[in-house]
Amino acid sequence: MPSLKTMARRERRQSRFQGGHSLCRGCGVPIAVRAVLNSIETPVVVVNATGCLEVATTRYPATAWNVPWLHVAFENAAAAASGVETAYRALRRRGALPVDGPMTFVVFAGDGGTYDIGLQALSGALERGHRLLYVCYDNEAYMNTGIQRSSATPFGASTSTSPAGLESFGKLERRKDITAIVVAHHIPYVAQASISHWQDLSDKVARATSMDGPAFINVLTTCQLGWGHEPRLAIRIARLAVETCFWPLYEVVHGRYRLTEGPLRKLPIEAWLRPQARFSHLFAPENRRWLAEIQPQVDREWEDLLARCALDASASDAAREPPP
Amino acid sequence: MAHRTLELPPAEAVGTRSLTGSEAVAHAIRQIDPDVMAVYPITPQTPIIEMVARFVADGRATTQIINAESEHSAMSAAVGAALAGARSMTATSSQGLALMIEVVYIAASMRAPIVMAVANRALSGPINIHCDHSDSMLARDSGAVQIFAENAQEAYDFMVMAPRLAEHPDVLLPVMICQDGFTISHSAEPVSLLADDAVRSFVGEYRVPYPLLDVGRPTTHGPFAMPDYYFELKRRQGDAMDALAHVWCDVAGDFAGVSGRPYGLHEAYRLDDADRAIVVLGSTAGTVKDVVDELRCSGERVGLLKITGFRPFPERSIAAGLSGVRSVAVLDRALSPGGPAPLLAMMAAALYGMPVALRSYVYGLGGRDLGLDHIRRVFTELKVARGRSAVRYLGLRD
Amino acid sequence: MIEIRWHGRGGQGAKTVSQLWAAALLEAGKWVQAFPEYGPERSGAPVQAYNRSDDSAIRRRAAVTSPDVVVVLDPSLLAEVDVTAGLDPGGLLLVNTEESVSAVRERVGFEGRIVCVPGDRLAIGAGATKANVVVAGALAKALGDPPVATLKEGARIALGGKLSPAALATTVAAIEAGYGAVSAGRCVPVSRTPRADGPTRGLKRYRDLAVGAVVAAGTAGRTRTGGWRTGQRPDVELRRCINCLLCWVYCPDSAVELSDEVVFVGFDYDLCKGCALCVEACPTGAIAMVAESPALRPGLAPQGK
Repeated sequence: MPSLKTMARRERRQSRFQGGHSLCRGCGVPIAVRAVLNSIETPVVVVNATGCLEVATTRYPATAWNVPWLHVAFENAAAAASGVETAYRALRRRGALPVDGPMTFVVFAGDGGTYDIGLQALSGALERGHRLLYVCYDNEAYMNTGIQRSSATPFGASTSTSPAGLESFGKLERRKDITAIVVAHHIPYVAQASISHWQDLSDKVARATSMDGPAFINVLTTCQLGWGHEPRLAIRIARLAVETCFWPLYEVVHGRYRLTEGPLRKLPIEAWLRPQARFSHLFAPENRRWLAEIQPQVDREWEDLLARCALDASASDAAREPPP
Repeated sequence: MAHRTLELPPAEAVGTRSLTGSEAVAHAIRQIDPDVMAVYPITPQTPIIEMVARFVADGRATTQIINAESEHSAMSAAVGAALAGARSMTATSSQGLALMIEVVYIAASMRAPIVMAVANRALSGPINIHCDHSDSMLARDSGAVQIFAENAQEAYDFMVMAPRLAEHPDVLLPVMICQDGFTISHSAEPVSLLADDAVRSFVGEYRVPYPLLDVGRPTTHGPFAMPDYYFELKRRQGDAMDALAHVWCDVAGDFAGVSGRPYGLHEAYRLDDADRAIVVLGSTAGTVKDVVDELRCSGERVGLLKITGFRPFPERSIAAGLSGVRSVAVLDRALSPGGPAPLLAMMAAALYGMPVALRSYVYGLGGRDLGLDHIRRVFTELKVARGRSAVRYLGLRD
Repeated sequence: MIEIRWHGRGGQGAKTVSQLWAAALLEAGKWVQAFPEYGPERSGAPVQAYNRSDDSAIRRRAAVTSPDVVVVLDPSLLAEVDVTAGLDPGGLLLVNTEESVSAVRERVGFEGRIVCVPGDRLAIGAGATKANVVVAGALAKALGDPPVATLKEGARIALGGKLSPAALATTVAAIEAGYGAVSAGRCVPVSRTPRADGPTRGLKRYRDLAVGAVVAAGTAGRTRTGGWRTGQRPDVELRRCINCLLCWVYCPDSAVELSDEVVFVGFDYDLCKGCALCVEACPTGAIAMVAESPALRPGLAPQGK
């Protein structure tokens, strides 16, 4: 379990990701990036999908990356990373690596590059079993192009392509369960994490990179512009997503679901919605009925997850018991 | 899937044997033994990757095959592998190249020296599996090198030359080795293979200037360029294509030394005293050669200019090759609706200012056959050609 | 033809005010253009927007490289951006600042006409959140055109669909505040010396660029993003620091400096964008945001090439 001191020492030794990038003031994305990169022991190679992170960290001729970094396009980060990882295996086998030794291949892609346009490449890479850690920084919309809805955008959120208006309460559809989709690929490690819970995220990265196969971590990452909150509230709002059970922290190890951090008490979903301008229209009297739909959605997903975790826990217990 | 046994010649055998274009190229890949091959099946390219997979399964090649879930991902994986520091290849046709095309542009800009075996096939729609060059034309401006083979032997030879063309430090570009789908890819004819060792020593070691996997010297590949740098970066990329002409001379010269088969970026066939000439890409050049010989027997001064290098287009040497010719017919196996056919447009630019009549013919779309009669007719029509004329369609039911 | 260049930071409304300006001049019977510059920068980064206006149709689409007027919406930009680039001494420099004209003149070395307006203060007084419209009001007065009534009409046209009636009223009040804050002047179109290589001057030639646009790692650290702060910076009371490192882990800009023994030592103000996440993260209240003068703001020393 990496501690903050261990992570800080690693960054002190080698800052894998530098300041001086042009991501927004108070952006959640670099928090996720640093937590991930500082939790990995081996040398790291990063593959990045097109998005805020890529655009704002590599304006030619400068780069914020102090590790090998590759960007090809939007929808193919997992595929490009497959090639890099395969090249590593091929070169290592014939002793032709420039620097020999273990390496960790990390993909960073936003929710658009993961849930939507990059889903096929992700699926292919997972099925082929490349040893990659795929990190989705999920800020729940296409932020790089100006806050358009993605299939990760929650029900009711107002975005520039699902705007709340006289005839609309924002996004009409619920977000897709990307974790379940990824789990269906039978990969060894899948997890959901949040930038607010650094220890949980860091532990997950450590477990993910110890697996012999693909690993996927979906990290809830705030966007002050797209979500409409004061920059300074980023961590507080990410934490509220966890505490309201909108974004439970769990992992799926070899198909077994397990909660990694349960809320001590479950807050009502409005506690998370209220500080964000993208949901403010839901609090208008005419939209109350849509607002009222959200709590049962969250409750149902949370209960399903708890049931799933309980089932898998009893299954592992049963597996441990000696036969009668 | 039913098990199929591919008939494979023994690895050590060297010499001439009957091979399809696909098989010839697959043998070249086995002999080169690239580190990574990222593939996705598509007709008529599929026999190439099937045969390579069989070579690997039988331990006759050590290539890591990435069975991608699409051509887009296959090309993306090839970019990742090539820039990582591994010799990388792919193979495709038609819709597959169309799906790849976004990444082909990027690969060229990132200077990823990926060898691409292409079996040319018509683009949809309607969907069609047979040959034309519309897929290659889609990649015309991508920045990838495109070399067209006339027959299975050339397909093999160019494939052996391809890594050295692609990986030359002044080039570092994707190189497409194009053969006509079915006409070459699925037709068996005599092909002379080099010895495995000769190929291995001919292609040499793979080197890229900034391998991504050099964790001791980390580099950023694929940054974001604003108007202050994009233009310069694209111009810098243009140098690579410009360099290919002299690199071709070196590589083709070395190859001739090994194989006894010399190649230029174009081939002038009986052009020396010709007053009429046909310009064409790919397998049709062979048919034209037969007609040229036949008409020469009856005293007609006709010739052929076969274009091997479509990108880079050897504009000056083509113009020089056609300097004595009075009329030229350009045979395009692709359309550019609303504008001149692609090869015609390039030929018009190459011959600008020269006192030559230019005729445009489109033929062979979607695998439509081009017979000897069609070519005889073209040479006849060239007798009276003046200036430029409207496009004519060969073998079309008017 | 009058050409204006607006300098602001992402989020300060440079693009919006250029569109408002165009709407107003169209009302005044002029032909107009308003266009921003798009880049990868996010809120807080230096951005530009432009206006052209003329009595007859404007057809040119070339960049504005030698403007008649330069407007600076954030005084910190004076140290970070060459705001007077291409500005003829016969032109006008209008700056949103609390500083005096002579202080600004000394800092930018511009010999022509300089007008200063305390836009932030006036905006707050008018109940507005941004100084951009205050500065537009001041500009109308300094140029003698358009009349303030026309400018207000421009605001109604450009912003009426986006703002509530109350916010629109605030905007109009802010325009009036700016209009009243400077002395009247007149715009004389300057003689322009076009600079073909304008903004790419001094950059590498294409031949000298690395193959494949490859960049050597870790060069962004030389980019100073400290200028993105909007008047406040984090300050620490070290005796209350328990070295929990939460400020370090939650800093998006790697601006928390640690010693070799990973002990908190302070902030790198060249990098800190002033988001205040560290203030929120600190469990002992050791970190607080404090006001800073733009002129004295660290991280604004001119960048080396």
